[in-house]
Amino acid sequence: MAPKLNSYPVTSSLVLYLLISLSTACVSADDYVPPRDDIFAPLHHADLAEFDYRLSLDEHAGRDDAYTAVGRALFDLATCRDISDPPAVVEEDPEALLAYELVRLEQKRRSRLVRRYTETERHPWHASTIHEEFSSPHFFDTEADVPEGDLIEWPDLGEGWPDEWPAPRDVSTRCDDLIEHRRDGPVAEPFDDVNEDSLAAHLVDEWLQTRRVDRAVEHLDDDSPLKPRVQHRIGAHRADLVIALRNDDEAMDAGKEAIAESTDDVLDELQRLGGDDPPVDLDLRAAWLAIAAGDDDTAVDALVRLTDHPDDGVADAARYYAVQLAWLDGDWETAAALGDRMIDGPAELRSAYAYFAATAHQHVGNDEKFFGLSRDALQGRSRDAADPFAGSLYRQLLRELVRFDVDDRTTELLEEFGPRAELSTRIRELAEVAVDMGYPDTARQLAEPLLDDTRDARKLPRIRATLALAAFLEDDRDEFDRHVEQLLHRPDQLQEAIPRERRAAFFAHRDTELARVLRATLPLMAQWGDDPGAQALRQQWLEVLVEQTRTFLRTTPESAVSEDLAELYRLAGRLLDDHPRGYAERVGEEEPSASALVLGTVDMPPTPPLDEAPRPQLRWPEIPSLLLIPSGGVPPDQFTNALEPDSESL
Amino acid sequence: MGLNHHIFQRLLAVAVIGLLLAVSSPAAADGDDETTLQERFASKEGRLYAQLGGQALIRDDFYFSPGIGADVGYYFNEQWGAELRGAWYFSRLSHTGEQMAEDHGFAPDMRAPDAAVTAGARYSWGYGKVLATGDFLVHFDPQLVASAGVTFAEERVVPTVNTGVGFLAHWRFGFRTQLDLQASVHVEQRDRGWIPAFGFAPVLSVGWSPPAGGF
Repeated sequence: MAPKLNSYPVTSSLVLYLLISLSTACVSADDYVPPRDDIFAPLHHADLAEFDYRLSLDEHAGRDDAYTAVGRALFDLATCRDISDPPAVVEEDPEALLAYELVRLEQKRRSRLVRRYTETERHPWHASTIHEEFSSPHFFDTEADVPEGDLIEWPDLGEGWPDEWPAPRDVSTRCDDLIEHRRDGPVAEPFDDVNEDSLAAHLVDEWLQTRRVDRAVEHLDDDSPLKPRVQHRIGAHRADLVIALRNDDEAMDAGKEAIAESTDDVLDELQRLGGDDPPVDLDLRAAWLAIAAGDDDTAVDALVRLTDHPDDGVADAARYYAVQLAWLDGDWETAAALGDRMIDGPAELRSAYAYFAATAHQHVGNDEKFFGLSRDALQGRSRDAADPFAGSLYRQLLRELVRFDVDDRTTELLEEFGPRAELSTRIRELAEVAVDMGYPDTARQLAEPLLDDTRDARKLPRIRATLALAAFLEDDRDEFDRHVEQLLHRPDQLQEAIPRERRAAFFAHRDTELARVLRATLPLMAQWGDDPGAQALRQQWLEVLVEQTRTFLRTTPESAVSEDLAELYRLAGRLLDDHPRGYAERVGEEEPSASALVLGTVDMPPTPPLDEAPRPQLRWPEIPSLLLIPSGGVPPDQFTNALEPDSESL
Repeated sequence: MGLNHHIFQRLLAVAVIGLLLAVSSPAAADGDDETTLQERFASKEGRLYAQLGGQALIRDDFYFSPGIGADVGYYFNEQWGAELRGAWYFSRLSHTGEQMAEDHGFAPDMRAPDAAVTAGARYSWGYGKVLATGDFLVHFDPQLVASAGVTFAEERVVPTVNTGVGFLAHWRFGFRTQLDLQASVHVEQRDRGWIPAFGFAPVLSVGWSPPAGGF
């Protein structure tokens, strides 16, 4: 039998003990309060899952402030999600608003770069930008760490107990299908006619976002160090945008005037930002925009500064443009001063540069530089019809050379202006230029040795024609006759050996040269003047020419140039009959074609097609980062532009 | 038949109460689809505990057997623990038993339980919390409990097995409250031989567990 127990004192003590214990040990339902640490630290270490976790803790605890919103926007940027308009709490914090708007700008830039890639397939689409990291699916650590501590993990019950907090979660990024993202929505005027997913639409979006950044900058204190830092980057980036808009046909069609106006605005902005000593990145853009806007003075100023750019390609392109602009303005002194040395680059660019620089030196009388630059551009190069600047420079060079007496130095110089194997061609061309320029003695001195040295019979007619023209200029009719007869001479044995139907082609070289002589001499005679001596001399030469031509036409009716020669023959004959200067009273007659109108020769310096001048790129990279990435405990002016993850976090 | 029927009803009641208390998992609601975390309010792993409490052994045996008990135990991890429990019963005849003795001179064949010593294991299969009065939280572990030992019933030593569910509530400073709702089986050698007796053994304990690693 169990003992009875008077249990009242024991029970009362036990109950009292329980009440005291339980009342002090009760657990109140307190809210979870996350630790106050740097929520951006994981982002700087590229730990995106942890960054998301820290953000979600603050959001869950209702402690999300303006910088939590900035952090969430950065997270959305890193995972290629859409970014909403800044919430009210951000609008109230100037630095946070600026950071937020910059994130949106960076997002729009990425969208535009991707869109450009879909058009151009230019790899990599994110070259030199922060998107090499931010938009890479593999850059960030996206796997959630196992939470430390003795934790209970509750499944998603939808209850939201205040003492619980969101668990770390793996981050899913949408950057894998970034290319598939499409812009969708209206485009601002005046570009509302462009395709809503076109590159132009993306550019306009991005442009408008830079204006939102401007407004955020305006909210900063006047002495905020952030102001110049951000304005510099945004100014440069806006220049990139307006350049891209200018290069986009669809955008130009829709809003050419707006783009032109923006070009001027951005140019002014760059000059204002650059001040007296503009940094290189602003100068590059200012130079390009000034060229586009036709502001040559500003362009040349910027380009001159850029000739010291560490990238030789940029420095040479800047020098080229500076010389070209000064040349087009007729500022030979500036063009010559800037074009004091040769640049590197493609042959066409070097030719064009040498043309502008050398001819500028020619204008200021610096022959040494003229020849030096010409030699740098032409040495070892065969003539290329696709390089009109090389051809013009070469002809300009020959025109300069004929002013000098022919000696050994002449040949040495000519050797340097092309391949050695083509030296005889250059000597012949120099002789022809000498004729054109009125230096028959020089022409003869150059052509006569060629006549002896040339073994290729097909080249002889051209040399003889040049010699004939030199004789004409020297009023040496015997010599002229001798060379023309050589041109006309068709050995009987040769004629018999060649079938009649092939003779025209076989003797075409000679006949063409004869026509060239006649075509050259008639205008030359026209400018001899009207004094009796000149008229008498002209008649004598016309008789010679008419006689030679008549003989030729009569004996070689099958010539390939018979028609041209017949025309020249009739012209010369008419001048002979009517008196060479008797054209004035025939002007205005009912049959003007029956008259002969020969005015003379015009000295046309060789000018290349300037609108076909090369347009080398003043290369500069995209602004690497438009972001301001906060750090806990760091003042806003020290926010970083990019991430600097340590190796361990990757 | 009548005895077994009563035992079955009690077991069923224990099971239903246990399920209602322990398996209270609301369906996931719409909204944020996220897992949440919470600090485990009281860790058990590597900790000793000691408890005192009241209990009862309720059987259809003409005895009224309230008791007190003391437990000591140790948790190897958050799930598994071992426990040694001693109980002292203050058994007396129930009103029906006294009537039978007075009216007919009959005495129960079973002996009144005086004390019991059991050793067993506890398994925490979950973690729960209850919000009380909107201000207080009760953190608890729903547990499965099983123990075996002997019950001393006057001159007899009765092999005993208990099994059931437990609810371990955690409070501050290492205090704890534990409610066990167990079915008991006693196999007693009566005049007719070894006869099993089924019962219900609720235990309410209050105890304390020193911090892991000591103070």
